[in-house]
Amino acid sequence: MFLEELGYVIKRRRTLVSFALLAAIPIFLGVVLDIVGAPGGNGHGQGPAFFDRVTHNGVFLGFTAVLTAQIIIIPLIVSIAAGDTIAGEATDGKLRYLLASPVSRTRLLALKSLIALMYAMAAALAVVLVGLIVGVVLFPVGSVVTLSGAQISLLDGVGRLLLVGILAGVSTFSIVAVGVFASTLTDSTIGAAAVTFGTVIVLSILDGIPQLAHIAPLFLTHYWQTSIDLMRSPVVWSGILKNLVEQAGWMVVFFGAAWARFTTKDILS
Amino acid sequence: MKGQALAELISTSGLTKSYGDKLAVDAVGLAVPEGSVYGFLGPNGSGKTTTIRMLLGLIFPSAGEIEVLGHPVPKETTRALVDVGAVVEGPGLYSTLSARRYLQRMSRYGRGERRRSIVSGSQGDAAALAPDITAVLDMVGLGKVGNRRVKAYSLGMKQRLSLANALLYPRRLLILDEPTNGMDPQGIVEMRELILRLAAQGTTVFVSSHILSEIEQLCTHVGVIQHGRLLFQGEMGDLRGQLPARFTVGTTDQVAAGELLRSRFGLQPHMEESGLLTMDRAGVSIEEIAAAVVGAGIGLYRLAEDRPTLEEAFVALTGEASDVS
Repeated sequence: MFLEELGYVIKRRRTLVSFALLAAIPIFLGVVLDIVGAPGGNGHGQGPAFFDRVTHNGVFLGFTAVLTAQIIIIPLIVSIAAGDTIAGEATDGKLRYLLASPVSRTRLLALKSLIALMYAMAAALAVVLVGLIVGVVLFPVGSVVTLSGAQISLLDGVGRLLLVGILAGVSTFSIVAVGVFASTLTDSTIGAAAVTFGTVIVLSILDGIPQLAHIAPLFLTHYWQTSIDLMRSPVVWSGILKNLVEQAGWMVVFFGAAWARFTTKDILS
Repeated sequence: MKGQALAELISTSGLTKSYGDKLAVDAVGLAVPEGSVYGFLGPNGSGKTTTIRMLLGLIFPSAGEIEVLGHPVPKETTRALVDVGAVVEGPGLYSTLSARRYLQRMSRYGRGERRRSIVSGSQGDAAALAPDITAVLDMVGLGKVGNRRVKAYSLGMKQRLSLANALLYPRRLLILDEPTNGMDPQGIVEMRELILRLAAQGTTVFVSSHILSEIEQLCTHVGVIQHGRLLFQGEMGDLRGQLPARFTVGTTDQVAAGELLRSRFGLQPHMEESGLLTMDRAGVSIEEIAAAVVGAGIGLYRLAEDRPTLEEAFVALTGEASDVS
């Protein structure tokens, strides 16, 4: 059942298009930097994070790409995948046949959620890996200078890049939970995905409003940028740990709500 | 099968589903004996599909009990459904998958629960974990188009594929909701033959329909539902038996014959437009009528005793024509 669902999701055209879009980000960034060159002037503070460093060290393309994609495109693609989990099956009455196959509702929900989480992780890692490859191909590569100015080995740098990618993936787990819950409320994939992505956008806007600073740490987007702390020496873990707790909290609440809803709902589609 | 006390594969008591104040299903007590072909009849909107969805654990009852293959639903739905094949209110297919791929997906979904029930030894057949999809496609007449995408299928073909899904594994019970919906006449005949063949092999079939002529030729048992209430349940013959048989009489002197039958037997002859007399049987035998008419010197050219059709019994029971769509 797990392999069946995994294969089904991988072979979908939507998956192909989504991952092509994700891969396009580092490719596009890399090609632009290669043709046009690094930003002029002092360069600092312009463009995405680490943007000005990429031409000196290709490893930074992975960082730039994932930190850029993390803001809009990864949440969008994850919202669609999560919103599709249950609602996508409910469309055209497929859900009733899956359940009658038979499979328990809890098991189906757990399977679909697990696949969506893997999908989210794969999305973040795809950006990192394509960024790394494109960076290595187009630009010189060498030992990495951290934000604190310390030099670390190339291997260490790549390791930290992968960790940033994994954290970017984990940061979307809350979106998966919200999306799966939304997906149990409707028969429309688009509706569930739109509500989920809208939630992310609204929270990230609210996150920037000073008057809401007291409750902002509760927003699922609040600690997303903390993965950059991996590039300090020594690494600052506190923000990263808070993000993990944040994501876990959202998962508990929304996967719990999804389960409560899905296991008691009349399937009318 | 008649006369034997058989186990019931579906039994419900007081099964009720309400939406707000409206009762969609009202205290329905189904009893589907093993080995029967049970026709579940009712006009559209009578509660057939809601009942079937409750049997499959898709809708939760507001009140009442359900047992399918001896397992309580919805408490043990997956366990109950391992040996049940179902077609529910039309097909639910993946338009981008081929028929073969669809059946593969569905069989893999059902396999986990099937394996568990085999391990626990309660049901099932260990050899049947990997179904022969080619054979199933042939069985429903889709053998030649099994690799084509479902998108290109007609409604009738989709319906066949949905049936193929229900037949993936050997089943003890088939629950078929309007299985011939959208099929051409040829498909309907094939469906009927298939159901009869499966029934002959011992599969119990619970089939809903509003097309009575199909049910009539298939079923050993009938349940009639209207406005959410079960109006009748029992063997097919008992439903017809609720209506009296009728005589049709044609003589050389219809007026005299009518008078004779009224005075001699207390019958209530009615002159049809065709000029024939019709009347309820009312305990009189056909031989008595023949003897009386001929004995009175009236020429008798037609005398028939007609059993009521299922359609007539249905209309008498529900006050509605069956074929309302």
